[in-house]
Amino acid sequence: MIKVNNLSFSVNNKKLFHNLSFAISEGELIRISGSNGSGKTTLLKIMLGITPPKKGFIEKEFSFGEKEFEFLGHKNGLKTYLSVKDNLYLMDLKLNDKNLKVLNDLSLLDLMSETVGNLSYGQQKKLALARVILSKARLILLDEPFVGLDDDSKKLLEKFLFNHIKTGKSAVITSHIDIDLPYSEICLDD
Amino acid sequence: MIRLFFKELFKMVRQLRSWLGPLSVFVLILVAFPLTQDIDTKFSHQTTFSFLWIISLLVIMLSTEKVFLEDFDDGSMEQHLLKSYNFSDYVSAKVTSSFLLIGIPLSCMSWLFLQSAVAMTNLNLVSLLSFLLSNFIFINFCFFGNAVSLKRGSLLGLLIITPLLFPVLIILGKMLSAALLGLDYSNFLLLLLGCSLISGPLMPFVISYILKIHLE
Amino acid sequence: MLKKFFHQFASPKSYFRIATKIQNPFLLIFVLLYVFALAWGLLFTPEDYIQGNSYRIIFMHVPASFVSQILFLIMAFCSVIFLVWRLKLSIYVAKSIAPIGAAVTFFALFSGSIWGIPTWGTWWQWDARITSTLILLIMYLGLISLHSSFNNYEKADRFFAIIVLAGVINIPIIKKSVDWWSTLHQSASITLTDAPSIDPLMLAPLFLSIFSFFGLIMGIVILSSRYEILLREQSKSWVKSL
Repeated sequence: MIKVNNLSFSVNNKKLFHNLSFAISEGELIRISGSNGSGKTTLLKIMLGITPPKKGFIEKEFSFGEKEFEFLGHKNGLKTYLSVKDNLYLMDLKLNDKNLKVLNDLSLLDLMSETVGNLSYGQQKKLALARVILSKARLILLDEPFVGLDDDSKKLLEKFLFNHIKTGKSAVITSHIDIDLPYSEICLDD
Repeated sequence: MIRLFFKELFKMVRQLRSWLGPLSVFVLILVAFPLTQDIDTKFSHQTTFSFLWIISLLVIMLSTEKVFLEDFDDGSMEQHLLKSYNFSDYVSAKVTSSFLLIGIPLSCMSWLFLQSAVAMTNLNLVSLLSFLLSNFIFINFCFFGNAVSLKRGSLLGLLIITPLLFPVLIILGKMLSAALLGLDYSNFLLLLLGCSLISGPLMPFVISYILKIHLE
Repeated sequence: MLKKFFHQFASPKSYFRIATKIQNPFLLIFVLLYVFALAWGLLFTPEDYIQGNSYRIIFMHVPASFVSQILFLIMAFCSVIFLVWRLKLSIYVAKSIAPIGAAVTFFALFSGSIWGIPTWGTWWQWDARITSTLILLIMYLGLISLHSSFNNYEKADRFFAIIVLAGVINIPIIKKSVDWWSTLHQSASITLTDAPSIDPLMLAPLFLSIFSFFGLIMGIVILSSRYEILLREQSKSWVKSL
């Protein structure tokens, strides 16, 4: 699905990674690991095409910008001064039965008219994840998705990721927390 | 594109302080200005106009201070960059909603203030038009300045773009003095129109290029 | 052949080597030349029959205001090279020009003010040229603060280059518009044009002072660009081995 060839990146002459090559195939979950500041987020951003790599290139089967992928970074992309419902409108999520069921599973349904700024960190994270879960993307890229989630929500996300890769779609995540899923690992520490 | 515009407008309308705040600052300054004069002083056209232009510019600087910072900080700018529409459309949507909620009210209030302050004879329509055009150009350039100094406070970008606005202010001044002398001022108006027609479509591209570098 | 030479010279390493070698003789020659030009201008030229001796500041003022604009053009040229060919050396040079340009522009304004007191009776006039020089100073100051406000040097370089280019398009526009503004508004009593017919005896030292001041400033640019290179390439092996 995506092939990464000889990727190198450095900031202010400090090397983050060098000659990195890997491929993501259908139905595969990739976990990028590494210590703080090893370039996990940067690697995701390069794969998304936000940051240009110093050397190397990325082959994509599809072009980003189509509704083929979904990304959630450290920052949730939520408007804290708006209610949950308004944020769902900004995310282009319709309130049909299927979507409402997922929101109920994430225990967000009772909070629809609450201002996002008043929600806890975990609840905000869940709201942001709802966008990813409700999309039909073939490739999902998540940056530290498990941080701040309680056990139930963590299991829910793991279950979603499991079903996601079972249907032949792919996912890339960065995580410090161990997960209960079959994955191949890319370690950025040398 | 239209959907995007409505979303930006929705966000801005719901965040009252981002547009109602600057507008009330504008009104307060308008009230303060006559207080510094004697009650029976007649304002001169030149002073009143240049006062209004400068105040509009300052209020627009104030109101656009955090337009991009908010989206950048909460990560929604990244999401816009990854979407299927052009990134510059997102910038245009922001500029347009700003003009709608700040630029147009400012122009109308400036025009009303003029009615109260100086005798308007032949300047009625043209002054409103000049306010609208100049505010549109100001908003575009202030967005540019804020995009440059995204995370560093808006002061830096404004320091760099304000010189770019001097020609616009000079055109405005020329236009007024020509109109007051009863000369033909349509060429100045056309020049102003040309400036806004160029900056309107061009600026979103420049701004989106700068924002992309910030997001790297 | 030419390309190879270009590539070789354009690497910060070889530029640094060459610059280290020529810097001191270069500076020495132009300092001496400038002192000579000043001495010639200040001591051995005839007195102006209207302005008396006060006109002699022309030998400091005119070179400064000329060089302040040329420096911006050089900076813009370097920025274009950086944006098109990604040549790091050019942005190092451009960046080290900015503070020097600000200093020269300030000196031009300052010396102009001093000259203004005896000749026009005022140290400041909202005249076209003075205003546009002031704007130039503001742009230099903005550029300096812009580059220092980024942590990531590569991003800072690109912003720097973009803003320099915006500025260099801006400068003729401002100059034109400001000229336009002042010619209609201002009475003809005070204009900043040079003495209508300048004596050849004054012209020769004036040209020499412009030329030598330009050389002197370029020497300082070489000096400060060397430090910039050291700062930016400090992790490279050739810098460490120095």
